[in-house]
Amino acid sequence: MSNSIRLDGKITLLSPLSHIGESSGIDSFLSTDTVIGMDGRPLEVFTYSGNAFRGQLRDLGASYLTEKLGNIKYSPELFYLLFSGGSLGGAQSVDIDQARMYRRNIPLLSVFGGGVGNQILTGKIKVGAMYPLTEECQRIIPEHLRDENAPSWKQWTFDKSFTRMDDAKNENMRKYLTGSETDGLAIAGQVEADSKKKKKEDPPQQMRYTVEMLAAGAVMYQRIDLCDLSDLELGAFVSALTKLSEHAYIGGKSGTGHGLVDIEYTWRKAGQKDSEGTFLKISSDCLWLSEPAEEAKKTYDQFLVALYDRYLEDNAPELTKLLTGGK
Amino acid sequence: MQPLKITAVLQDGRIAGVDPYFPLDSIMAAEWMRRNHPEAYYNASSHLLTNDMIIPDLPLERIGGGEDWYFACSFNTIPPISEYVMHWHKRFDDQLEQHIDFAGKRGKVDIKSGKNKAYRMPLVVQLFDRLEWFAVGDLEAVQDLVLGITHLGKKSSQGLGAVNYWTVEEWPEDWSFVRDGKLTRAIPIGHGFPVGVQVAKMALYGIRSPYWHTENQMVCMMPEVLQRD
Repeated sequence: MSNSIRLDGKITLLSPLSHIGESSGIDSFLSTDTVIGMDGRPLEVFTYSGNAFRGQLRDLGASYLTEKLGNIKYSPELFYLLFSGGSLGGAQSVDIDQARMYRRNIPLLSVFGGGVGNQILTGKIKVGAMYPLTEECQRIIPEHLRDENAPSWKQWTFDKSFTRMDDAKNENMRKYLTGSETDGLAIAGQVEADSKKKKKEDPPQQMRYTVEMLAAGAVMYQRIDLCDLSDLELGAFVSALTKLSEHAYIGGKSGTGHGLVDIEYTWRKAGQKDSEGTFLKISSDCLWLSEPAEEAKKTYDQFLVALYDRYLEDNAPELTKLLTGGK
Repeated sequence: MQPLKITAVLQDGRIAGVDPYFPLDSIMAAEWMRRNHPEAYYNASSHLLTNDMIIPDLPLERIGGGEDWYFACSFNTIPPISEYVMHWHKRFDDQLEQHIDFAGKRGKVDIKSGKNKAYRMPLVVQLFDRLEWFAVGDLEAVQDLVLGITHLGKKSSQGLGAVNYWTVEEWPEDWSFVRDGKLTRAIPIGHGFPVGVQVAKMALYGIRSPYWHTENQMVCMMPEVLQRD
């Protein structure tokens, strides 16, 4: 398999998607971006941020790694590097050996990149935004997904209102509230005082708010470029998607079932137009891996087992120092 | 070597960057480095390149000699359709704090300042339907090199600057530095006005990659700011 590939993703929403851009009072609106339309003019359209999905994949990949290492705990610095990409700063000078050591021991970091000291480890993945297959995005999406009768993205959105209840005002629940009239332990006089204080200090708990959403059934296109990946690094990338398949939600309000997706990535070699077939599929929370994806993940899993053994046996001082922050 | 026109047709038109020049020789130099010196490309930051400079052997004609030579390659000659500011965000993943070992100390993470600060970073994005450059070079070698370039500009990791496809074609005239009496790239002031150019703005600017490096910067005659008709 070529070590530089492009994934073309088709993402189908199984439940409405929340991805907030701007808010005004109690109303939140979908994130939009300006792109070039078919006639060469700029258009505003909903996009699901490539940075957001990249961040999610980084978290999922780091969680997968952590589980395989026996739910190890990291120093705050390494945690920040693995889960958020680290930060630049400090007096550390450029250290190629250290960069190589990080890439060798943590393929996930090599894929997503990060900042260590004042050194940037260049990542090898470019995660594009997700574009709805609508009228405005016909120029952006591949030819086989184009449809001259596609509707505007505005026809795929709707406003959904939510209510947050203040259960302290629910008579059936109040009995569980400390200081309520039914609370035998309440000190006389304290209830009234607490009640007055509460009114002054606490913001109202009960509210109704509205979120603009992309409707279930909407289909989006996404392009991901993977550059110069070794089998191990490809396996690290696949591990992140494996973890996503356990809980295939994107965007906000997943706690209430929003953003459930089916995903299918086809792949092609860099610079080539023809697809080599399906690379990976997440459908109804089930994962299907193509042979190259399966092989890469197997290689990565074996690497992680060996890494864990070396860590447990403490016969890799540089690794121990790396994972524990030098303790 | 022959005059060429090189076009990058963009996927969604968004490129992050503050000026519209996007010198192609610099973009090709990065791709050349990736292919020929992957160790330096991936494991060294720009600091190392500064200390141990590698000069890319691009399939383009070199103009001038000594310290102020440059490749016969124009800046982008297509003006942006529009420009706006987008924001990208970075935050500490506090929902995953169970993976942190605070070594018995008080576990406090400051997300308002310092290394764990949450960011909402503005980013200038320019919209183009395509970018065009003119050069003098080896058509097949240039074609091979640009085919490996998937993105242009900053924040390609987030998908900005994605190229849909490239075209490289023979061009009847050499527009690598002048087109219709107007400059198409930065030229060191010491080279004098090219034939047909009467007036040009001056600026301290790079003449070859890395363009940000002070050793490659000098007082130059600059192309006019690109504007749409």
